[in-house]
Amino acid sequence: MAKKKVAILDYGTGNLASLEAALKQIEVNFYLASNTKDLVSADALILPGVGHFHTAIHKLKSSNLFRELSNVIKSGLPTLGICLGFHLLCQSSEEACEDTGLGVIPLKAVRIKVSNTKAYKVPHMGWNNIEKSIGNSLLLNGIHKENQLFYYSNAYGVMATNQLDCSYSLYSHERFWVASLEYKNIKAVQFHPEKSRGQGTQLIRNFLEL
Amino acid sequence: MLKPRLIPSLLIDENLHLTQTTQFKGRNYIGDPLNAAYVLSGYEVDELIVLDIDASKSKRSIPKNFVHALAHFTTVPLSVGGGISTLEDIQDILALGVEKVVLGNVLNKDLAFLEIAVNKFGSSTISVIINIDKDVNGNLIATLGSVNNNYKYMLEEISLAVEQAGAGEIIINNIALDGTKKGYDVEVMSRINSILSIPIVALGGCGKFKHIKSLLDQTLLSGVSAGSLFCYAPNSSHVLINYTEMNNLLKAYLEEIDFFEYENNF
Repeated sequence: MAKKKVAILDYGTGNLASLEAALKQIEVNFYLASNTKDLVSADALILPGVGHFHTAIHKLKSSNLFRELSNVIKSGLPTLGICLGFHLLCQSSEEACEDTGLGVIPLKAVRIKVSNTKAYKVPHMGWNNIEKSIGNSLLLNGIHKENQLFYYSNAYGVMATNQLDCSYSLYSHERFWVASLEYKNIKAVQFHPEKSRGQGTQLIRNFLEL
Repeated sequence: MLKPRLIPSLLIDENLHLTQTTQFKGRNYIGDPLNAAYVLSGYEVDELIVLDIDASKSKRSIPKNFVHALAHFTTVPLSVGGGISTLEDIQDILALGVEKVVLGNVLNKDLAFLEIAVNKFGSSTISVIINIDKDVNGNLIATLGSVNNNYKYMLEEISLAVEQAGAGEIIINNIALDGTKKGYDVEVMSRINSILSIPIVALGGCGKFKHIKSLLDQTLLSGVSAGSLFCYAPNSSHVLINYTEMNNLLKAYLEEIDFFEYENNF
């Protein structure tokens, strides 16, 4: 079988080198996608995760990718959103209230607010473990509980709601936040698998079903 | 539960040599920074800070080809600083595979640059390094970047202003303790950590695990960093890049803590 072709969505501000290095390590064919034509031949799509919500949405709109993206994703293309990429897939983010997200995940990203500011800092930065896992996770498959420690760097997060009818996992930062989410063909993670040691590359492999 | 990060800091000089300083002055040549970074990345360090300590005074940024090589030889989260002074610098360095840029000197003119950078790249990609020292009267003074510039600040004031401008993290580097292995200034670090709501990393003075323990006993710091601790064999001047022992001690320390109670103590 021919190797899968993975499109990395390029919205200009992302740290793509880390993700590219991780994909090279697992010997995946990938390319950068910056217009609608680039999406046609993709077997899977990754929305990388560094930058600002507004900058990314603006870039997607100016390259006419915005509308086409939600269509392509809704039509079933396996998609992984990382950190900001996760938020872009949601309906909106408090990082840029004037913008709407792609809306393919029926959730909203909000500013992380804490009450005990001595013990909990924002941005949520560093290595955190998965506290709870709900449903059967494809992404975490084969990653032992003690290795479910991932690298985060986020000031905005997504809260789980009861309506969420899918498999997801949670990390704790004073309260529970969504660490990973598996909604139809869409997978999303708040952490950076590309910077999360062997367990991170395992997660990317799981997404690509390698 | 977020684990406090144990972060080696590597200082590089004009010649791209890995160096270690004492109170920002005496310099010891350690070796090749890329080799050290590669070894530390192999130890799966929580994060790595790499600072070019000659860049600002030479009015240039940390060399991008060096950062490119650094990102190539490592897989761990990177914070990179030294003379970064334009949005293009930040864009280029992040694009090379760096998670966070560290700003200092450039913020002396005004903090507006920080706000602009945060709005463009997101707060979690922008760190600020604040140097602290004692003046002749024993008063604490804070500086951004070079110590010998004309800008002096009160630590609390400048830290709050930097937080207000949107920085994702502050590294507090203690010049008086730099390279002394006397331990962190626990009192100053806990005071600052208690008034700020963003992550703080302590740097300067760490010579053994006990110093990390005394700090974390007092304040739940987001990151503890050290240079020589990870570059020399214990009680010697022999270069030995190491990490595992300290990391295991930290793990054991964290395992003994009842986190729920610990967090509620702060």
